[in-house]
Amino acid sequence: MNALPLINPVEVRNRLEQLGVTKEQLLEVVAAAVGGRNNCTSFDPRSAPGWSSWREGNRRLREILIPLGIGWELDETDGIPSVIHRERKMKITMCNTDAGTGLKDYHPQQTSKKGAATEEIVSVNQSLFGEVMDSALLQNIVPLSRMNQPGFLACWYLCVYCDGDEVRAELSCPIVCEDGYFKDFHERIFLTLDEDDGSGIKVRKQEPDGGDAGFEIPVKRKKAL
Amino acid sequence: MKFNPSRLSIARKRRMLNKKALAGKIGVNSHTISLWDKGETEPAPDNVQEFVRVLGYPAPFFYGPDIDEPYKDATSFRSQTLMSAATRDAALAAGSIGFLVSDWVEKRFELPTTSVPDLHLYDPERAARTLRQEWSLGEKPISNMIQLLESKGVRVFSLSENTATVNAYSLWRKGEPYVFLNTFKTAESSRFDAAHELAHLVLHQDGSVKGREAEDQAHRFAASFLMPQADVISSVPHVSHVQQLICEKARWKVSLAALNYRVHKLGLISDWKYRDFCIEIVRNGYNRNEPNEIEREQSIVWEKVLKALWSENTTHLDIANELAIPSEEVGDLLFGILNPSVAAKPVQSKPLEIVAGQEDEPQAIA
Repeated sequence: MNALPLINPVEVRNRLEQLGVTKEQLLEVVAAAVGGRNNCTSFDPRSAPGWSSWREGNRRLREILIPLGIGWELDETDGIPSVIHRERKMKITMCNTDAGTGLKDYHPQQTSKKGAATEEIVSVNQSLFGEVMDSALLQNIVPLSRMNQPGFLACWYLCVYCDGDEVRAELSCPIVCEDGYFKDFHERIFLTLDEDDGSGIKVRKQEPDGGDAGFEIPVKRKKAL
Repeated sequence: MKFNPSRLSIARKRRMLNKKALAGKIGVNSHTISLWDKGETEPAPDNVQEFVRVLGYPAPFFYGPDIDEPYKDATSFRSQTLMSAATRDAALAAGSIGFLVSDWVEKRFELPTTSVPDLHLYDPERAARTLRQEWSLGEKPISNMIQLLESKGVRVFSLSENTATVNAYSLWRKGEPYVFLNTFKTAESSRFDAAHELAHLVLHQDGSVKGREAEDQAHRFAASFLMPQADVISSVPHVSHVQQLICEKARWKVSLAALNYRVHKLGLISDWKYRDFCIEIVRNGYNRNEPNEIEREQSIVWEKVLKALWSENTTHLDIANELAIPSEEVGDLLFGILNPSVAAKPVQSKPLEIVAGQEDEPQAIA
């Protein structure tokens, strides 16, 4: 099953609202992760950019959501830093992903191989969504029934890809993780510019017409005077 | 609408004419100009036609409402001593025209919102680091200063003052930051100027620091902002010769002199080596002809605005017509930082027509 990514800005906002987060909050986390990566120089250990991005991203995720007092809590189960929401039965963690992030014809993969804990988390997602989705599609019903099972938390990954000035991000729910890498997703929500065409552009972007680099510079025509 | 003396003053300053010089050109005495300037008397229509002839501004310009003017005390020029009052006033008057254009555009377009913090409590180096953190830039080189500023809501215009004594200036107006860059200088210098003006915007919003001290602070900020300490030290830990700096400066897109100064300040080269490098830079003419030049940075905001306007058959000439200002004033403010292919695009919105030529000759297209 290849989940069709959610791209339309209105749909994205609505879906994020259902999940209890906003696009702005997640973009703050993305910016922190990018800042963490950019803080590193060639004198840092080779793994530092990824580690820094991961550390800053997850820290900001917690800094933003937990103080809101709307049910988000800190969680560190199996050594995976996350925020959990028991009522919503979900958790979110930030991870660094590859160039497939934010592109509808590809999917994100972690930049480093994950261990058993991640595979376990993703298998929970699969048990929540995978089989139910397949049967639900056949029967044309909404696949949410297993979400009510006690103790099950659907795990969402805030996937962040950063290469120089190009940054893409998506909030996604993987359901297959093989050999330590994501293989399939139940749902992908692109964090793109409102005016974007779904090519997965976020915080900063390469100019498509060959400009050397670009920052997010929205310019919109107002309605005619 | 009544004659507006402040507009006469702006047009006169744009042409670098003092009252006496203008009086001489239009055949009145300077006392008359003073009376017009103060609004005590109003020029006759014949006089206004003379303004049009001498200053090149259309007559309706002189009957418009007041225009905001950048006050010289609220702006920062780096080379005060080298710059004449006329040059300074012309550059400031360009700012007034820039406000007109900016207001015209903002009525029609939503531009990026302002996100430039007040960091006046920080010393310049710390302010540069803080701003980099705030903007998620970390220690990485900045690919494009103009676009970075635009992304943070700074309105960037070009100054086409044909002199290197006017670097750039910046100011806050109605809560929005403006930067005017002189594109007569090298691309590296303009980029440094942009960082220098950013320093004024974040460090000197309250106006408590002025003059030489403010300029020194802005210089230190710009050097730290463009060439972060940790990135420079890790990228060029050992500096042995000028050619190495010529190669390395591409990373931060700065001038050779700026990088030489920076590596010296960071203790990567000794005082003696710095002095030798300075001599070598001058001897080889690198101070006049920048080696390993970068491409001039370009605005994205103005490109998007102009392209959107073209789709409605509106060009910069139409903007000039509507604002009753010379079209070259609009061009000077925008084209210096525009992609040449955009700046060269349609200059008139009326359709092309075929003009009959002589027989046996190809027909001319006007």
